Amino acid sequence: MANDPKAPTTPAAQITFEQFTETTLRAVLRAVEAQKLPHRPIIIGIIWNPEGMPGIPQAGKKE
Amino acid sequence: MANTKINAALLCPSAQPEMAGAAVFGLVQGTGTSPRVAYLDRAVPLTPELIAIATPVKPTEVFRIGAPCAGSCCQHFGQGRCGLAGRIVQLAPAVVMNAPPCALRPNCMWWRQEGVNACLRCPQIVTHMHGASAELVEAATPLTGAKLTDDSNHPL
Repeated sequence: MANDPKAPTTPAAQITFEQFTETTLRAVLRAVEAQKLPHRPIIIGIIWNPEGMPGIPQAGKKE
Repeated sequence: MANTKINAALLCPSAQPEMAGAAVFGLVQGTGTSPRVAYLDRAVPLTPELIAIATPVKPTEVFRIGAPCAGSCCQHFGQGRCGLAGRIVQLAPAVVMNAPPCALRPNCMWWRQEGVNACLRCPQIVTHMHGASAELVEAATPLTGAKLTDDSNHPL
């Protein structure tokens, strides 16, 4: 259950702007490793909805 | 149209780099199978130079990007709410014990809607994610049933 998780014991990480470049490099290397995983990637975030965009006719509707 | 006004001021914490006002607020650390976002002490505008640093991978595999909520232009949005944030809180486990310090939080759509429960789950989210758990795949699936794979996500 999502609301009954194993109690996480780790605090979230935080980095300063000065650490940014070095940390970005590590992040790129992590992503390269992740690309080797067998599952297809997914998008967890915004997925465009063409019907919600202004100027694009919606299905079944005439402009 | 109160919802439209409210959401126009809020930021999506899992946005795409092409979006106007995109800013990096986190970097994905951890491992390939267990990613964890490290949060910047301030958000940084996403510039072409920054995108170049992420090469050869996508910026969304490396950065967490915030940008204004797209509202009805996003398949997760409906009835003034972000369905993605709701499903993440419902389905995904908490992965940190406290809400991380986050530069996006004051205007974050997920925070505004789900409160600290979203923040406790946020560090496991990679916008373009390889090897996602079944729970995250389900959470990321819009109710419209759109494909989740990258080729379905065409920006403006």
